[in-house]
Order: sequence, then C-alpha cells, then structure tokens
Amino acid sequence: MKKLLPLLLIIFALYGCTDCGPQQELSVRISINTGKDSIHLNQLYALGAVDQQVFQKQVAYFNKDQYFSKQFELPISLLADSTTYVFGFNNRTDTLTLFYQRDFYYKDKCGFVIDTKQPARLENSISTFSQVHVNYESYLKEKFTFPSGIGGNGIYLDITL
Amino acid sequence: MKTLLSSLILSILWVNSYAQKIYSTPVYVGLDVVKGIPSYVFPEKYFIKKTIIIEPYVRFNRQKPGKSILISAGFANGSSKVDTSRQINAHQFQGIYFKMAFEARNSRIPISGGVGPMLSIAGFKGKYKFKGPTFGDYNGSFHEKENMAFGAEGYVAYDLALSKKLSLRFLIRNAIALRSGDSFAADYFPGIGYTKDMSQLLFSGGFSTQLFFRCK
Repeated sequence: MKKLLPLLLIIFALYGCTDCGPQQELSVRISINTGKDSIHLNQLYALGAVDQQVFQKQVAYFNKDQYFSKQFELPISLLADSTTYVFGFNNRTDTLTLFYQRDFYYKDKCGFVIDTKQPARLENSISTFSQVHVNYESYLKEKFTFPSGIGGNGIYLDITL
Repeated sequence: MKTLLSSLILSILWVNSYAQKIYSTPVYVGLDVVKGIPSYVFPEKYFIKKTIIIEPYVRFNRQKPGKSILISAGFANGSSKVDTSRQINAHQFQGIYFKMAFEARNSRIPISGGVGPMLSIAGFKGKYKFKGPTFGDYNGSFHEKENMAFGAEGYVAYDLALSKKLSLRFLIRNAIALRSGDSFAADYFPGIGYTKDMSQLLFSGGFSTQLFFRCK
C-alpha cells in the first residue's frame, strides 16, 4: 500500500480536476513600458466605477516600482463589454478603453463561472498610448493539472507610452 | 403542462374503469402524505423550500395472486436551498412525472416490493450573481424548459390497515434516471428527489408514507 500511494498521487495529479476560474470580478494584467524616462503617475481611475480605492493602491505601486516596465492589475466591469481607464501622468494624460466579450455560463462542479472572449468588433482597444497590444486568454484553465495546467491567465495588455 | 396533466388523469380513469371490468378486484386510490411537508416545517434546513408535491396513486390487483399494478402521477412546484458557492441566489423548479410499478406481495409478512419505469418532465429557473466591488454586481438569470429524465423506481413497502377502507403504506424507495439536458445540475428533480451535483445520471432514494383508500 505504501508503495502504491505515490503512484496514486501521480495518477491523480495527471488526471487533473475541474478549474472554475476566479468566479468573481475579473482583472486584467497591464504592463506599461515607460522607456528610460522616469515618469510619475498622479492619478488613475476608471469610468463608471463605484469604488476607486483599488486604483489608488495601483498608483502607489506604480510610483514605487523602479523598473522600466511597470505592472498593473486592474478590475474590469462585469456590467459592460468595455472598460475605460484614465491615466494621469505628470506630463500627459492617457485614456484606454478595453473591449472584451463577457461569458457567463454554468459549469459542472463549479456552478456559474465567468470568463471573457475576444470582442466581436475589429479593434481590441481605443487608446491615446502609442502602442497597445491586447492578448486574450481564458480565465479558466483548459485542463487543471498539478502544479498548474494550461491557460487561465485571462486578458493581458502590453502598453508602450 | 395542463394538457399533459389532464390526459394523464383521463388515462388513469380509463385504466381504473377498464381494470375493474376485467378483474373486478379491489382498486385502491392513494395519496402521498409525507413528500413536501418537511419543506414547510423546516424551510431553512431541508434541501427544498415550500414545495408543493402532489402524488396520487391507483393500485389494482392482477389476476395472479399477490400481484398488482401501481400507476402514479406527480406534480411538484417549489424552490431549493440556494448554494451561494455556485453563485446561485434563487432556484425554482416545476415538474410533472409518471410512474408505474409491478408489485408483488409476500404471502407471510405484509411487505410488498415493486419496480417499474418512470418519466419526469421538469423546468428550472433561477438567478445568479457575481459580486463586483469596483464596478457593481452582475445579476444573471437562467431558465431551462422541458428537461426530461427517464428511468426506473423500485420500492419496498409495509401496509398498515387503519380500517376496512383506509390503510397507510410506509415505503423506502430508490430511483435511478438519465437526464436529457446536461447544462445545469439541479439540486432536486421532480419525482426523483435530491440530485445535487448530478448532471446526467440521477440517483436518489428516500422514505415516504402514502394513504390508501379501498374503492371496491
């Protein structure tokens, strides 16, 4: 039996289980390449947000970060297929409207899950940044195996100022 | 739904009169007296809430001694306890079902056993919610119509005579059925019972009590 136990664990790990995804308000990961110039973010907010606290926290993180490529994690609206963010830097103000398609459905063993898909329209985003690249990936892992599985990273944005 | 129910009543009446003509043996008419009651007495603890379950029966003897046929139809309408871990905050169901059983009675002890096919047609609707602390909550709804389950039910029953005409039947039952829709796993399937986390193959057992009246 003792010899069988690790084998059973391996089989269980390879067989995997169902991934339910975040099942909450989704967030997008944003990476801003600021170049060599040091830039200060004064404010960040989203249109239509009832609570701006999370954006104020992101401002603090942004200004603390010493790297040229700065990371954000911003929530997206579950009430619309787009979210608009306003970035107020010390020398410029940028807007970014991100498009997506919300997908709510019932999944066995999870209940209702939430995911996003690529938008039905041509452009993925409208922005005043010089370059925005949006990468759409499911928020639910395709096959959930130990230690992680495939996919499940959600929307990822690469921005150049 | 209404036409189905009326056609069922008609068919029961037809079988009833037909059976009497051929066999001229006692015909029993019964009604389930337990199902649904716990959902009114313990609405917060029981898995279904305020659910009406009407389950009438007709039982008549066959020509072989100790053998009988049981025909039943049921109607259920109510809601089940919400499971917030699945984001669901309201869940209602409605359904009708038909059962038939071939019953055999033990000659020495007053215990009968029966088994037969069953068919259930149900509809489910409800609401779900995703909390959105930043932008606001998303409220969605779901509606599944005419979901079918086909299977078999077996039971073991003990009959207690109350008077010449009335008798109580205590039974342990078990149902197994296949469901047509696989998109939504209901907690309760009319006629089958508690089916939580079962999407296609439903399996449920239980205890019930029925009151029977001897017609002739």
